[in-house]
Amino acid sequence: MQETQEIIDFLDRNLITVQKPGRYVGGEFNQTIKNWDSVNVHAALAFPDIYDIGFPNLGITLLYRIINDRMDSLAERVYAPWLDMEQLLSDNNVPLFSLESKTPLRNFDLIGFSIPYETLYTNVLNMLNLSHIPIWVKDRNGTDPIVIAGGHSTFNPEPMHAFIDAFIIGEGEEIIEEILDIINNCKIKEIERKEIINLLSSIEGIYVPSHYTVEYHQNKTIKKIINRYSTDKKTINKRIVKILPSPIANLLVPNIKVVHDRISIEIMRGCSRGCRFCQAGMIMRPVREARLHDIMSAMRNAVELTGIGEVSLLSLSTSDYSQIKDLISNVVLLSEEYNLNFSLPSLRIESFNSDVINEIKGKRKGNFTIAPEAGTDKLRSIINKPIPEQTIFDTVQEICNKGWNNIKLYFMIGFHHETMPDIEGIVNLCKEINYIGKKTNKGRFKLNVSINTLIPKAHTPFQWVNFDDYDQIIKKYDFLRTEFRKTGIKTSFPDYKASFLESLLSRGDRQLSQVIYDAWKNSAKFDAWHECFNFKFWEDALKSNSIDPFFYTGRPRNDNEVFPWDHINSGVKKEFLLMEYKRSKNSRTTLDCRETCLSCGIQTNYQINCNKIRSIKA
Amino acid sequence: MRIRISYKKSSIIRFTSALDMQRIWERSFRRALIKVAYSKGFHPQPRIQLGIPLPLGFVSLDEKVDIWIQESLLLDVISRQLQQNLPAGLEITSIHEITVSEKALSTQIQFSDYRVYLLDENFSPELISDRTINLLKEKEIIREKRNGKKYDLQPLIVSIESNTEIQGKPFISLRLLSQQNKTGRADEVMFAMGYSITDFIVERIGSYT
Repeated sequence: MQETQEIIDFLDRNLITVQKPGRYVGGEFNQTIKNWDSVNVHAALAFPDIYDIGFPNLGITLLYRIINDRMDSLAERVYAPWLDMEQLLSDNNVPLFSLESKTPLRNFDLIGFSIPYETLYTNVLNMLNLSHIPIWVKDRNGTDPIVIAGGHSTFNPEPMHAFIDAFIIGEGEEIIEEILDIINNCKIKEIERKEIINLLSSIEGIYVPSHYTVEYHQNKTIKKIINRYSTDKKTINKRIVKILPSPIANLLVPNIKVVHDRISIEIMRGCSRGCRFCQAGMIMRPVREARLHDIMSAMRNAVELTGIGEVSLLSLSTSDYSQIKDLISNVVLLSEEYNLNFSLPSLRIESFNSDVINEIKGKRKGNFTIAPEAGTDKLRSIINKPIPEQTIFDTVQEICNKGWNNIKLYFMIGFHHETMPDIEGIVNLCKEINYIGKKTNKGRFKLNVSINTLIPKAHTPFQWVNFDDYDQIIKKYDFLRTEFRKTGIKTSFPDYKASFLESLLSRGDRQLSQVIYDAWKNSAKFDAWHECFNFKFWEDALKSNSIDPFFYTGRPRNDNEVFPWDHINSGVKKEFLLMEYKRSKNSRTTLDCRETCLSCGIQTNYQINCNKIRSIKA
Repeated sequence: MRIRISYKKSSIIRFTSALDMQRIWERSFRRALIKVAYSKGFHPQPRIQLGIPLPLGFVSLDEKVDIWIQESLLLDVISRQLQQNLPAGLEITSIHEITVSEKALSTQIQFSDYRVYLLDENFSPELISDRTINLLKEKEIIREKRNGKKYDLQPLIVSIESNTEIQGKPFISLRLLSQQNKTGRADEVMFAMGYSITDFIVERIGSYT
């Protein structure tokens, strides 16, 4: 407690010297502060980027509520300090602390990192270091907190295996309760740290990497992955909740500006479309819709409990919600009652029809985003997002007629079997859309085109393909830049090296832990930030470990290669992914699995009927 | 109806900027289920008018904000419902109804009083007094704004008093102009006297017409 008071005094005096000090003080409306000594288990929920970015994270919000609803536990939050704050803390030897009670992180029993994407890895190491907690699993003992991690990136946990005591694979709602039960019991019985971790490993969905050994072939690919600790847990099965709980209404309300400062209501989890590049579409199966009634009552409650004047519906494919028309008309009514703005991200052209457009008409028109992903019908078949060109044009015409003036288009380059005509296809498609927009709405119409590079991800049909060659990608970027010049279309391109790093880490193995550590030692952090990312730190780390990154990025995999993440079971079978990969090579599309079950493995793995659990009628 | 709220802003929310306070009020009213009136036009905005902005990091005993609400309500109903829905660190001290045509706060207020608490015990009463007297002798106090523009702080200072104590701790009293385009910043006065940013905390006592 004395240490906590010292931190408070320190902040009182020194926070004024950093940018946006409001990032480090907590005190938000709906924050929960419990008496430290009134509970047995203390959990810190950590997001490895700054407050402004991490605040809206729905996973943390959800766990914060579940943990604080328990009598025996408390949860507090912590985000990565920005560079100036990091400097202030380390110059004064002040350990990283939680927002609520300003308790040093190392005093918690449990630290749970949410790691949605790979470029946050170095920040995890940095936060542990600032907390004065040993970075390596092997160096932790006794009273050190148990460090766990979850989130999409952890579906390939191996690159971070040396730093995380236990990974949560899949959805957190139920598993967190089981984790807390074990920690609570162990604390009462004074069971030692190592044994607690052993006990945690018995939970379905928990992966304790130190229990596993990986054997390699001569060529550095994997021979097999063995669980040394227990023979009855060969694979770690992703956790799911079969019925979505009601969306959370008592969200925290920030006292300073953050990104996505709005009420996000999750209306659906999972996606049945089966785009082959999309990791979320594979690992978040099966599709489960929240009940319309639950969504609307959560939304009304959230407006009244937070006062936030903007609502957003969250899902991978909002317009695929089975009662989308009713949902939108309800949301429109609610927004009139409370003077709200609302946004509908992730609309799919195939299911976004005039009915839906008519429901939204009259509201303020923001950006309208369409993601064709590829420039030609052929390539859209390869990636299994088969939207005919004409449908795109028709939709654009319709939304322009209804008064939208800002359209944003998303594309990716670097797909296998991609040729220059496919890249030209992107240009032609955009020019035609720009023509339609200008013809309809004249000078007010604006087109933004965002180009990204395909990062082949684990647990997708594209896990076998190589990240496109440097020369190829640069050639395609250059071509696009030239072609878009003087068209009045705004474009954005990613940094090749940032994409390369993401590609390296996405399909990495255990060898990369040392690389991540060395890169961090070389000063890598905030790799997702343009102004901080420096590939030199990574290049040097790879070199000092004699690791050729092209082994991970540039190498097409054999059909039968054992992947570093093969012991992590997303519920979708590897054979299904391989079949999808092969179909892609023949430009064959696969139907939305609502139309016909493709036996991806979800139904048998979880003994469920997808059609039955998809929507539960009120 | 148009109401004028006086409130305290304490240490725990002192890092929420004047700009962010606009949103805080809008949300607090929505939570309190009191409907704020909106401006007309293509992008209707809630009609919330802050007084003289309080710089980031300052605390205050008396801030003011004007708000137009859609219906006529009893003032103590507003006060009670609103207070329950304010974030920690904001406390309503009074609410008055004012005429809709009343001039904006920012055009009415002429000057503000501040108390600056010194955090370091190393500052002796003599040192504080010397620094104060020296600054008051200056004919011109040139300071730089954030945008790099230079300006003279001297005419913005109405008075400085030192050598006062609360519970044995020294503080400095300042009276500075708070007019549109002629506002003296308490922290700038302190810098001009040779104090650094971590030496003090500023409290606004009140603003006067």
